[in-house]
Amino acid sequence: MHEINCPWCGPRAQVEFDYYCHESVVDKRLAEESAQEALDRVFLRDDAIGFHAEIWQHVSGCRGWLRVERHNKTHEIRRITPCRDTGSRRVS
Amino acid sequence: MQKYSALSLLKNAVTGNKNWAPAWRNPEPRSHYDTIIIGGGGHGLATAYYLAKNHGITDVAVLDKGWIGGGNTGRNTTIVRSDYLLEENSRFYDFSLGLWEGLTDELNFNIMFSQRGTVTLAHSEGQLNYLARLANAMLLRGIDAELLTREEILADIPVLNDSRDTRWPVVGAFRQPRAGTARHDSVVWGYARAADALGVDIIQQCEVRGMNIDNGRIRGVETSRGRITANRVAMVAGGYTSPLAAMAGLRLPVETHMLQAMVSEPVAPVLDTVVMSMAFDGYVSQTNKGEILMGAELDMYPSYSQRGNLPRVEEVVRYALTYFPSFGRLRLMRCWSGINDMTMDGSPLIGLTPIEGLYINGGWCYGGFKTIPGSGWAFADTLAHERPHELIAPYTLDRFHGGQTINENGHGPMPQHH
Repeated sequence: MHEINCPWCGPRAQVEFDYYCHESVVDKRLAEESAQEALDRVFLRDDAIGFHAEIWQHVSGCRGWLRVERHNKTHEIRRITPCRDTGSRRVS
Repeated sequence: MQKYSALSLLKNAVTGNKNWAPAWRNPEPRSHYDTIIIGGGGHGLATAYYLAKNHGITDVAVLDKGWIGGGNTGRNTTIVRSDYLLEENSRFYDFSLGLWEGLTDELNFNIMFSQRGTVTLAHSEGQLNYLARLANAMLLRGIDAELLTREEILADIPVLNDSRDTRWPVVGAFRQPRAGTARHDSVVWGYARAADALGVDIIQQCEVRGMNIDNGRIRGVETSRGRITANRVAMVAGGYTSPLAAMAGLRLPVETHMLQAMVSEPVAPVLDTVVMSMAFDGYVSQTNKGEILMGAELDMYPSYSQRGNLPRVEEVVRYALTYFPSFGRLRLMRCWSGINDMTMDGSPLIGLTPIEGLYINGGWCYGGFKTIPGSGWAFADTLAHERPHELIAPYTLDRFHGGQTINENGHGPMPQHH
């Protein structure tokens, strides 16, 4: 169970949020990468045990997109920032 | 190997059950093996057994960081079926189902394989059409399948909700009669005992911490009990596929998620088949102990915690009660979760890797239990001949980049949705 501190709405229960994907999937623009890089980005994942940056959406709240730094074993959340401030490509 | 039989039961009963031999040895690891299998779950032990039995390769060690069968083999819902639409999956999963049917005799160990059938409920005409297409595809390949009307399925499963005034009214169903369930521990113990009898060393509490790779070729592994060299190394550690492959410098099309299941308190027999639904990826059955077993979808975020969340428990129970309102009077007794190495197309990764002598068998998403015998069989053949067995040839590591994904649900590279 996570409590997620939405930058706009404050701390809310995890059920209000949807995990979308690992940040690496959306952090580049297609035009800037080779075909090989694009395929790697879409299909391969950094999946080590530890902290990862992930894209979440507050679907049952403000519907804002969040960048969440979260540990995938302890579920500790280290940092949450709005996607627009991180340079992440907007996902929809 | 001490053969189990009615006679051996009787003999040992007379002598107070004091003379049973251990089912397998507990050897110290040697410094070199021909083949090392990382992971003592169903797949790893089945691979070791078929390597020894079918190919005469007995200089084999199975390493497990905990105890055998303590990972995903003991954290699932024990369903065995082969109702797949895609040709590759159909062929492979049905080959596996065929092996399950003879496994108790093969291993001289009662794996309690119960062919109670699996039923998938349809809630709309569209879903029934899909199930008809699935059944026809299966029948064309010689696999058993049948469609049932609403009346037939309600007569078969009296405890099923027959109301039309519900969120998902039952309009018909699909059934695979040969499908069923098995006793998960027995599968592990049966394969372990049979592999050990053929000379395989099963080494528990031996964690692999690194791989020795030299000039693109595997030379062995570093473990918590020292270095072991080998000609071949097979990674068969479902759930930890990504971290293990990372030790060899491989980045995989895998994202690791949690899947939960739970049982109620035991009750008298009331449900004699496995019930699934087109409305969600859920399944309800009754265990041999009488518990009502329920499971459904992933927790939907990456996790290695082996600890599920409560909202999902609530949701699974809600699904189950939609079909079986009378189960609402039961109390939940136990829940567990397994680590699912979800791939980008929902199909496994099994075969060769870019590193010579290093093989992979993982990415089973949540379909691993049912394929234990088939995977072990085909993977052992792959190791012995150093090329993919035809049954598993489609499940290569590089199929994604070439556009040859095997995507049963058509969800694309969104691993949590397969």
